[in-house]
Amino acid sequence: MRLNKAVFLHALRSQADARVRLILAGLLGLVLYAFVSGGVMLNGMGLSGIAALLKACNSLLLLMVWLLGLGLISREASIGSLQLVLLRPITRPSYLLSKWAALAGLAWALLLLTHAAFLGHQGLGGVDGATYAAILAAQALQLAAVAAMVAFFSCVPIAFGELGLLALFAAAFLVLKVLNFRLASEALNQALDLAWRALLPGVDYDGSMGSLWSGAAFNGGVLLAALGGAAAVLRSREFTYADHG
Amino acid sequence: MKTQVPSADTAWLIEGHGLSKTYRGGKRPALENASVQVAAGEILGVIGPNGAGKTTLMACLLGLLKPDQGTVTLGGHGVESLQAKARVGYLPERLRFDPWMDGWDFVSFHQALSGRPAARRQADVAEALEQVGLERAAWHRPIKGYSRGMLQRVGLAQALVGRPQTLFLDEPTSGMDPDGAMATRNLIQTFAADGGAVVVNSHQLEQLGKLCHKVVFLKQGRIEATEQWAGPTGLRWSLRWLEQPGGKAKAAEALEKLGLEGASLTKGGLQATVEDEAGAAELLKALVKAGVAVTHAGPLQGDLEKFFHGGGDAAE
Repeated sequence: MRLNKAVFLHALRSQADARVRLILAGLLGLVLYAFVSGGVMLNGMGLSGIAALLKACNSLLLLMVWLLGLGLISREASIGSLQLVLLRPITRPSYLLSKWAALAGLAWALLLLTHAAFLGHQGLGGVDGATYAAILAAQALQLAAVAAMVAFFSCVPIAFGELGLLALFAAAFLVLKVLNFRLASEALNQALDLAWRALLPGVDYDGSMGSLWSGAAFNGGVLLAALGGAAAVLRSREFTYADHG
Repeated sequence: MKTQVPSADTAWLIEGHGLSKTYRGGKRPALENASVQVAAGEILGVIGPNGAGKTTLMACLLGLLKPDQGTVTLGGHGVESLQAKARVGYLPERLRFDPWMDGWDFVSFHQALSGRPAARRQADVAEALEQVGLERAAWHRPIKGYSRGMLQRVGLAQALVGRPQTLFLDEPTSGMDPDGAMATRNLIQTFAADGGAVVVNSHQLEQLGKLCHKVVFLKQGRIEATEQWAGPTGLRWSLRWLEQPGGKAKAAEALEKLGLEGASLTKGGLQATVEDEAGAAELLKALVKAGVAVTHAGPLQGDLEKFFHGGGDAAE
């Protein structure tokens, strides 16, 4: 399994054409910039230092990646151009890997821009250089995991598409979270929390490197599970042109 | 049902054997025990009413659908192998593309996917677009503005750009003007004459009659009949004679003297593959000389309409 350059470049070019999504992502980017530059007040308190960077990346940057990645594979499957691609001498896992790499690459570019803005305004944010580098690496892994989750959802053949599926998940979790709904079984509660974290993997940093490592291990697991799941779904799917009998 | 039996030395470029497929929730099989073989230089037409299983057969042969039973090989390789995929060119009935692409981008993308060298990309793409007759002014225009005929052309260029050995075409001349349809027919025939194998799925029976060497008739997922009227290296001729005692034996004797193999004799006639029209004249002369009262002779241009409506009976 290796990266296919043609699919990788095509995926990047297709992202650039999705103007509405780009505009929305741009707006999110402005808010993100305001966050990391210390211009946003949250609950009456200005976020500063590394906390602002973590808050911005754990929420806005993840949303941007979800937004940019919608339709990563499902769009091609629904319009029918995927069938032509799959007839070419390229394996389905290779196709998936190339699509994921394009989205992850875009996400990493956004991460670097975010960090550039942060460094420009807040320096290292109160942590030492080694910790800052570890946080950057953890965030890169986090975004790779999110890109893998997007790819997974994009492979699932659901009638109302990945957006519908995502909305369903988000709505269910929102109800559980907002109402602070707790299930009778603690094991189920923990499973729900894990599922929520898998959907939007975060980077935890409470001042100790231990929290970064355990978070990174979880995000690495999400990355592998999502890519493996996506490859399995894509392998099992059948495609045809159903225009005529 | 007549099927071709491969001889030991026949190299089928496309071979589907015993293909069956039932869709999830389907009450009956969309395809049932279908077998097709296409040799180098041959063009096979697939006809049948709507819902007969033509698309399912094509998708199974292409490896887009996994048959419940049966096997498909392309050039001797399993259809899902990369070696097989490197040999395939496919033109879908309706071309799907990204709206931002122009004709050049689209064909170029497929050249890159086909595994052809990047250094050859410009030349390959230009050659394919020229081959299908897409006017140069349209090469860098967005595909979404193309007419139906232009879409067919760019789709055909996409199918050809990877230098395939096997071509699968769904309604290749649909939406084309008569000149375009004729040029496309010539292109497909040249592809086959150069050693390629072609499968064409179409409702345009007249076009298929002019294009194909043989046709399979599908009905309710089953191949009801196979009609062959020409081989890749010859013409298929049909002769009928007045039924007289000993007529068939005289004809058999004449064929033996002539050394013509592969002829099928029936009670009042025969079908045989001859090299060219001169070969047909020689066959006719030999039969008359042997005392066979020939009443009709001519190339077996499949009367596909009759074949279609007769459900394949015309082939028997």
